[in-house]
Amino acid sequence: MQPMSALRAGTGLQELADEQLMEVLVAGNKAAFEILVQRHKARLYSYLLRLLRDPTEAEEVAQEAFVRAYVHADKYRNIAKFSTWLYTIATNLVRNRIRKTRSAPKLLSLHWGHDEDDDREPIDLPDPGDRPDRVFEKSELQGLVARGIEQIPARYREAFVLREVNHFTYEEIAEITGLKLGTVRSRINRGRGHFRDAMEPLLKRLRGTE
Amino acid sequence: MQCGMARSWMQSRRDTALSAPQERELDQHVMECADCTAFGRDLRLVDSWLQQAPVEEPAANFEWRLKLRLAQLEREGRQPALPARGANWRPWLQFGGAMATAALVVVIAGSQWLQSRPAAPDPAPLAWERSNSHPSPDEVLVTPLRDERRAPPAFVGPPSPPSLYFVGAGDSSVSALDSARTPNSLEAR
Repeated sequence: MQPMSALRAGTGLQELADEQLMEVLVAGNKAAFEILVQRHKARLYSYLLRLLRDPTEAEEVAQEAFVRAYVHADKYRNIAKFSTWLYTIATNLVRNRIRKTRSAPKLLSLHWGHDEDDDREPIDLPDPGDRPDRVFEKSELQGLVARGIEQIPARYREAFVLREVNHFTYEEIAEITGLKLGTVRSRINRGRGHFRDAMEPLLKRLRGTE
Repeated sequence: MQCGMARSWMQSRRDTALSAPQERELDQHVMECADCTAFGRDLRLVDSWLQQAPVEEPAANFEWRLKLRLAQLEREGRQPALPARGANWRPWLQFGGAMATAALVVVIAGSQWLQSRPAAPDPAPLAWERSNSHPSPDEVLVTPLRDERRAPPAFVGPPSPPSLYFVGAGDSSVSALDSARTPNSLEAR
């Protein structure tokens, strides 16, 4: 078979939904998978980066998730969204990876296995200088938000990110994580609480300028 | 209405709409409670910040590396089972039928050509060198094995289809070839 890159996407493929692209892929048109990768790689990588907090690890897991989705394309059943299926694969890979590192010798676990709750601190805001009421640049705000998400304990961060950043429904998150719906709601609410706590310095500053 | 319930409703309505009476009750409480007003404002701010959560891009060569991995899988034979369930098999059957017909035509033409071939100069057994690729459609090299004094290898014309005509290298294959020739064709030139 020709490598995926040897095929050229038809002009109609870009307009197809993810699930339709999977059908096209299973029918033998590998260009459909290129489009799926282009659509999902950034958000999937972001999700994994927020769980793993390491760019190299996040890229490796993202690659592996896409590889598995490709190899097992014939097993994809159109009863769930493709993104749900893809994120389920990725989430299981993350859990397997974390499980392996936790059972690794102590020296290796220093990086991965430390109690993340010990790292929780509110974000540090840049010094406003003479302008306490200055509006944050978008990039600054994005950095603060990213750090705020990092402060959420791992147990809640998974469901929180899937809901607040990737905008999956509660039912989809339950399917991705394998958790009950009630547990998903609870973890998302706890995650929101931790995120608000992490962003408290910014909230205080904004309140102080009103 | 208690502040705890009001704050719980403010959070839950982000996911599930409140009923009209609940909305009215909540709005009434928020108007009267400064703390819940501030809480609601903070919620809206935090929500707006989350909308700005950055989407990180992987490295620029992410797709290229993925393609390499998939190409490697294909070389290892670990490609997906394509086409799979629900695929339309009719084109495959038509293709297979056409190939079978073409092969039959080639066999018949080949056997007729062999019968009309001039005698080979060397009556000694010849061996077809099997190769992994199909021979050129125009010519094939006949390589004698046993006697180095013979004439250099000669091109004897279009090949017969080795994969269909010969079961494998060896004497049985040679007998099959010889048996297709007329007695006169075996005379040395």
